[in-house]
Parts: sequence; structure tokens; C-alpha cells
Amino acid sequence: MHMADALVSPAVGGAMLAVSAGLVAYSARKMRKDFDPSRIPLMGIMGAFVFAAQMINFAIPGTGSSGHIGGAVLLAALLGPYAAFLALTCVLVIQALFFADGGLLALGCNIFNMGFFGCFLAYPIFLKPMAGNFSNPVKVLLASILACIVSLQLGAFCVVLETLVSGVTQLPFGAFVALMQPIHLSIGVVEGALTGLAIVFVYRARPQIFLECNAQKSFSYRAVLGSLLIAALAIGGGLSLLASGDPDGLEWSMEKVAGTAELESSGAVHGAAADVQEKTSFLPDYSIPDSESAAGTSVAGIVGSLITLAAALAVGFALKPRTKRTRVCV
Amino acid sequence: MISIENLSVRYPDGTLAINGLSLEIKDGESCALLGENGAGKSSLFKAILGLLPIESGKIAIGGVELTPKNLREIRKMAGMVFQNSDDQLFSATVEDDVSFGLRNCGVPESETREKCASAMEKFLVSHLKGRSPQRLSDGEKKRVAICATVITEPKALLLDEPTAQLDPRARREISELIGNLNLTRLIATHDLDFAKKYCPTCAILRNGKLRARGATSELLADGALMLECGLA
Amino acid sequence: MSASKTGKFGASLANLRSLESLATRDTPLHRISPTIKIAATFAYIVAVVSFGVYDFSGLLPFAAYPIIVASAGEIPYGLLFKRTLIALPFVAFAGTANIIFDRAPVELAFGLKITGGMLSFAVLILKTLLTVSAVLVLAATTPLNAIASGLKRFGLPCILVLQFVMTWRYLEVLIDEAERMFHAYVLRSPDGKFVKFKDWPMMAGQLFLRAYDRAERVYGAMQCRGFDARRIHTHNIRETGGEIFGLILFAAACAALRCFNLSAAVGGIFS
Repeated sequence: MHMADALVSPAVGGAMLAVSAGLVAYSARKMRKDFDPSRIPLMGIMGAFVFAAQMINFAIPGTGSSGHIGGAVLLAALLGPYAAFLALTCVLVIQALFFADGGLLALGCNIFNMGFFGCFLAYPIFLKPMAGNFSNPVKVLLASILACIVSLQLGAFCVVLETLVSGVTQLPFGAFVALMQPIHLSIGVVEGALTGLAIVFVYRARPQIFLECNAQKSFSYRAVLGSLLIAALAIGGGLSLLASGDPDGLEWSMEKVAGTAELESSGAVHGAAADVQEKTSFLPDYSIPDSESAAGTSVAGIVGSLITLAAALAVGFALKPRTKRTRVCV
Repeated sequence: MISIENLSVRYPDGTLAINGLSLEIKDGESCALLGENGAGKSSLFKAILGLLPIESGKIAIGGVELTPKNLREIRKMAGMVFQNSDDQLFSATVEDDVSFGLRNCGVPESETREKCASAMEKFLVSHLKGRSPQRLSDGEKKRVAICATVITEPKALLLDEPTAQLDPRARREISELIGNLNLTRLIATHDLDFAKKYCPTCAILRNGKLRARGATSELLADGALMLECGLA
Repeated sequence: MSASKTGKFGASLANLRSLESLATRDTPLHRISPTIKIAATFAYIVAVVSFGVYDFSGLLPFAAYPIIVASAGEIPYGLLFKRTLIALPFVAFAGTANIIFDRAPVELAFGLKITGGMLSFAVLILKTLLTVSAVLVLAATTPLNAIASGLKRFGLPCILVLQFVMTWRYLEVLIDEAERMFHAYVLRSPDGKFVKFKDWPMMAGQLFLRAYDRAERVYGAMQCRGFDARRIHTHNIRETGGEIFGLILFAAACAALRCFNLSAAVGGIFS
């Protein structure tokens, strides 16, 4: 899922770098508050482990292509979402620098696609609530598979969006999606299974790694919302230029985010996603990004996104329960 | 210099590693720490440097009592040479590894380089300075490890089985090197010849407690004691 | 895990080490502050990537940068080229669609006609080669710790620098342990060549535990020598005035070449 520099335009690359930088800064700030130096070896070794695991390509039956695990969900389970996000960022930077796996300009895209959904969406929304304190292997396995599938589907979809908005390839939206999603569905299942097994194993062998994570405060959705806002702005402008060559596919993808979430303070995320979903069902026809009419629609697109998301944010903050200050899992 | 009072230390899994140990090491003393495998030697070292939490008792180095808050200060006063050099040497080059401690103390770069160069000269590892520490022979690694630990001028040095896994010549050279250090030394070892030659006093541990303390030559001559403690 | 996999691990380790050993050499290029080099690489990539989908000739002069830097930094061309090839497959896949869908004829010099799709495909490949080699020359002239310190000047949080340092260190620890375990396994199995599929989970699990335990010991050793996570030492990076000036010149050159097609101009002189 690593994107190369040649596939992104400076605008998309820059925008996603900003988003990812913001998320990194946010994660770092969160970690600094309750920093436990004894977690450092774990952070380092998990970073190295995920890095090594990503080098192993496994063949995906029936597609003639190969994939590798992302690792975001596993990292989040063992390190907590913030440390996991930082660890994954490191892995991606090292891969970009030393293995030409993913570009530098595209780094923001890659960090977002592979890290954000796993650490900040899939883990707190699916894995943690379902798996609880990780003591029931079956629950852990099922939760992991679900979380990984969601995380990879969203990530893959973002790759499609970012590539198309950059305007470098003529691959039609429908075809691109039709290729990316199923492949990453298979990868998601495999990664989910491996993640689940790994969590069960570590829980049996070194339960103290999970002990400190048990008292976890309810997850703050501000980061999720903030980055959704920025990403929507950057891409929303471009989205309004794209034909939804396959509106069902697009809506289907959005459904996955909006429809399955069942959270205490779900209002905001639900609202934001639903609004984006509404927006995209009225997309105009496909046109190459530098055509005449584009300017008008993209400005409207950006303004539209701003208004709807501002409204959603306002609603979200109003609804958000006052979170208790318990120990953040780092 | 090192004062241990009624120390008890537990491993994370609950087993008692040290059970009511009291020991005094005087300034400038070169003391051998003897005992069979599992007697608690490595655990004692880790506790002294704050790597294992203390369950009860007190540890003081140079008069400063060990608390969770002053670990940095304690670690400036006492250094440890690990049993496995691979755990201890982790930088990209020997030079980097030797200067690691100085840099962490905030010593300015130029001074660091000078000290590093002279320390490497002294320990005869200058020719290794650009090499990767992982690729050295065991004897060379041990030298570099000792050099890297001593460079920050600690007042006391803990050495965990420094001559293990060395060939006879390396063993001889490292033993001499350690013997010539001008520091308080506490040396955990199975090498009884080394103990006899370079450590006038010794302390024998058994089951996490201090079993015997006194002149090395005397204690090593006590056959029954040696047998009891798994040293013969 | 097959022999080729740890051959792969071994190869990856060799990869890491080869770039890292190149990065620790001493040439004028290596001595430039990492912050400057990172900024220059970015400027270069942005310029290259911003070229239009059909602009092949305008892109070509940009090849000068990796070529010159590689020779100034004593980086073997073969290594550089091999690494850039790795990045091509996915880009090629994305670009193939161009060939399929963009059939509008485009006329090159001397009456040669190709489709728009082929041209944009070629541009995509060229962009990939240029951007990837720019990143590789950065990696080959700047050790990772220096890159992390350089990024810190751009505002990278301390904790991320720490994570870099630790991931980097533990990568070797991990690969070391993996090699050891693999050798031990292989010497006791009749085939002696690879780890059986059914043993993967056990090996992976043990590898994690052993690497984790060793990581804790290494961290303990670091702590004993004064390492404090809250105050990570980073090399004192100061960009000189000359370096900043050079960076501005470089960025200006990139911008100029972006706007002004050198190839066309030079070609114009000769035709």
C-alpha cells in the first residue's frame, strides 16, 4: 500500500503531510503526558518487528499479486494508539529512506493510510471494545480480523482517492477500486488472523504488557475529527471533481465507517461520515483535474466540506462526554 | 563506598532474588563476588544500578542513597560492565559507543572526542574505532565495554563475569586491565584464579544471602565452605 | 521462513548496513547539515512531481542532481540504480492504465508518433526514478540518527526521534536473534533448509520474546550509561550561512528548471 512520490501531486502530498504531521504532533503530546520509560524497549522492538514483518510478502491466492501486513492494529493493541502511530511512522520513514518503499512527499499519505485508520479508528472502535482485556482468544481473534479488514479497506480506498485526485494516472475510479479493495480484503483477513494470534500469544507469555493498558480512558475523538476535517478539505475539493464512476462502491465504503460504529460519543464521527456520504452521492461526472469547470466545483466542494464538517464538529463537541483523566495507555 | 543494608529484591515474576543481604565495600577495595549460578550476583548488580526495584532495605553509593528519583546521579557514580557485551555495545561504531556515556552527560563535543581518543589509547582499542562493535572478537568487545564504562569516571565499577568466554590470552589481558584500574571494584566471577590474584577480599553469596566475607585467600582455602557454596 | 527469507533478512541487513556504511563516510557532501539535505531533497521532489503528465523533456535535466550527488558522495551508481528499480512495479501498474486509456497520438521529433498514454507512462517512470534516487542519495549521505536530528529541527517531536533511534538499534538486535534461531533450527531439521510452515508461529513467537528480553537488557545498559529518554542527545545541528545560501540557490534552480524547459532550449540551439 506504499505510495510512491511519482503518484502524488504536490498539493495532495503536501496536504497529507500536514495532516500526518498534525497527527504525529498530537500523538507525541499525548504520550508526553503519561510517559513511562519502561515501555521504550517495547516500542523499539515492536517497531523493528513490524518493520521486519512488512518485508515478508505473501502471495494472495487468486489475484496473482502479493501483499504485506500493515501492523497498525497490532501495534495499537500492544502499545496503545499514540505510541503505535509513532512507531508506524518511524517504520514508514525508514522504509522510505532505505528501501525506496514509499516516497518522501507521499510519506504523509502513507502514514495516514496505514497508520491513522488502524490506530485511531479500527483499534478503539473495534478491537478494544470487542476484545476487552484480551483474555478471551476467540474474541481477540474475531475482533482483530474485523479491525484489520476495516483499517485496510479504508487505507486502500484512500490510496485510490489520493492517486486519482493527484491526476497522474488515467485508471478509472471504478477499476482502481475494484482492484484495490478485494486485494486488501484478503490481506485484511490474513493480517487480522496473524494479529489476533500474536496478541493471544503475547498475552499468555508476557501479560504485564497488557496490564498497564487495562485502565484506559475513553478515547478522545478530537484527533479523529480534526484530521477528518483537514483530509476532507484537501480531498473534498478534489472529490467534487471526480465522477463517482461507481456510486454504490463509494457509498458502500462510507457505510462501513458510518454504519458499523456504535460508540458512546459516536455522534460526531457518525455525523461527519454521514455528511460526507451525503455529499458524495451528488457528484458530477468525471473530468480531468485541469479542465475549465473544475475551479468552480472544487471551490464549492471545499466550502461545502467546511460547512458540513464545522456543523458536525459543533454537534460532536456538544455531545462529547466529559472524559475522566485516567492513565493513557502509552 | 558501596553500602547495602538488609536488601531484598524480587524479580517481576515474584521469585526472591536477594533475601536480606548486607554488604559494605570500602573505598578503593577490589572485592570478588562469588557464588554459584543463581546465587544472586547479577541481581545484586542490577539492584545497585536501579534496574531492579528494591523490595526492602537500602543501597547507598558514595554516601548517596539510591531512590527512584536520583538514578541518574547514582549511575554517574557507579558503572557496570555487563556479562554479555552484546547487550552493552549498541552503537554503530566503537568510537560512538565509547563516547555514548560522555555525550549523555552533556560533555561538549570537542572534549568528548579528546577523552574518547585518549581512553581508546589507554585500553588499546584505538585501531578499532571505526569498526562495528558487533563484529569484534569477544576479547575486543570486553575491552571496548570496559573502556566505554570507565570513560565517564565513575567512582565504583561493577563487573559481571568479565573473564567468561575469553581465551587464555584475552583472559590474562583483561584480568590485568581490571587489576590496574584505580577504582573501587566489585567483581562477580567464577574465575577463582582471577579472584585470588586481583581481589584481596571477597564476598560469597548463597541463596540471595551473604554467606561469607573476608580475605580471599582464607575463604578459598576453606574446602567445606567452597563445597557448600557450589564453588568446588 | 525459507533460506531465501533469512537470506532475505540477511540481504535486508546487508542493505541497511551498506547504506548506513555509505552514510558514515566523510565527503564534503556528507558534512552538509542534514536539515539542508532534507530540505533540498524535498524541494527537488516537489519540483519533479509537479511536472505535467506529458512533460518528458522538461524533466530530463533533473537527472543531473542524483548523478552529480552520487559521484560527489562516492555512492556507487549500480547500487543506486538497483534500489530505484524496486520502486517501479506499482508505479508501472498504475501507469499501464495510461497506455490503455490514453490513445491520443502525440508527435515527437522526427515525425515519430506515439500515444499520449505511452508518453505519460514514460514520464511516470522517469519521475519515479528521479524521486527515488533523490531519497536514496539522502539516505546514503546522512546516517539515520542525523536525519532524525535534522527532522527535529523541523519540529519533529522528541519522542519520535527516540522511536527512530530505538527502532534502528533494535532492528539489528532482531535480525541477529532471527539469524541465530534460524541456524539453530536448521541444524536440527533433516532438510536443513527452511522453517516448516507449521513452525512459523512458534519461531515468530519465540523470536519476539527473545528479542524483547534482549531489548530490555540493552535498554538497561543504555540507562546505566546515562541515557535519559526525556533528554535525548542529538548532534548539535547548525546550518551555516553558506549552506542556507546554497539551499536557496538549489531551490531556485529547481524552480527555474521547472518553469523553463532546458532540453527544448538546448535542442533549439542545435536545430
